[in-house]
Amino acid sequence: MKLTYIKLLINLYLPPIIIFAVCLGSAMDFFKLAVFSFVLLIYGIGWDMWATKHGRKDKLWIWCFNPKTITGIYLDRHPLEEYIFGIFHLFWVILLWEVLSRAISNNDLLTLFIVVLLGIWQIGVSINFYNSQKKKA
Amino acid sequence: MKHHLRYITSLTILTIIPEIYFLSKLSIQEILVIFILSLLGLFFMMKSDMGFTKGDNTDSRKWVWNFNNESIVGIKIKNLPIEEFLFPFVWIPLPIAVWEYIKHIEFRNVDLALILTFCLLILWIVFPRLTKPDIKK
Repeated sequence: MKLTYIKLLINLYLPPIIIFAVCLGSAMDFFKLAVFSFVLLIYGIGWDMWATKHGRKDKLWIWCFNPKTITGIYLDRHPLEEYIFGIFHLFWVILLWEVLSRAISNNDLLTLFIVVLLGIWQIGVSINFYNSQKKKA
Repeated sequence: MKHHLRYITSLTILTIIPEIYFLSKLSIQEILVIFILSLLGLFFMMKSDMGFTKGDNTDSRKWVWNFNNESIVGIKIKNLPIEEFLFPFVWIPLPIAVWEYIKHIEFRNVDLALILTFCLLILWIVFPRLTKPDIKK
């Protein structure tokens, strides 16, 4: 139960990230991507921290997390999963963009087919997750 | 009434305005591809978001996050605040547009080291103070 969030992140993002990274190989500057993701992550996490702020003076928090479905590991009072989500999402977006732009410019149908398959994978994982979270009638 | 706009206002200031700026630097074809990717993202992200969000459809033991009705506009689709549907149209185009903007800049290692140090300082020193919960016993 405590792994609900992290399990979905791994299923949803990790396979596409690994496959896109393999597709790009040395053509991609991964160090630059890591720095870029880290900078945007801090931007996003800052907003996230503000949005989840609780206190007597400021009751207008925007969202909150359920301690029963997250690992319980916090970095600066913020769930570890949110950091992982930020990194995974940014890596996925940029790698997908790079793979797609190269495939389109080189007319590489095989790579485009892989991108479509991974898109179907992600949709399937999210539908399966949604159904598992639903209340039983 | 103003607090109901808290989520949408922060989303607009922090993400939509920078997104429009960076997207304006791209070509029409690139924007079109990004829009198609955002539609794909809309489907799988919203499906998993619906599974995560506390509401009538989700098993009460399994929800991961909950939105404060005081901080959102109040229009919901399947228990999901309308603001959440903007998420893929922001967090997919924004990283791509920024990445394309900085891609051709040649960073030296010393520049990257400076950026990383700056980010770490903000993450570990500035943010925790800004977002410190003001709970008084």
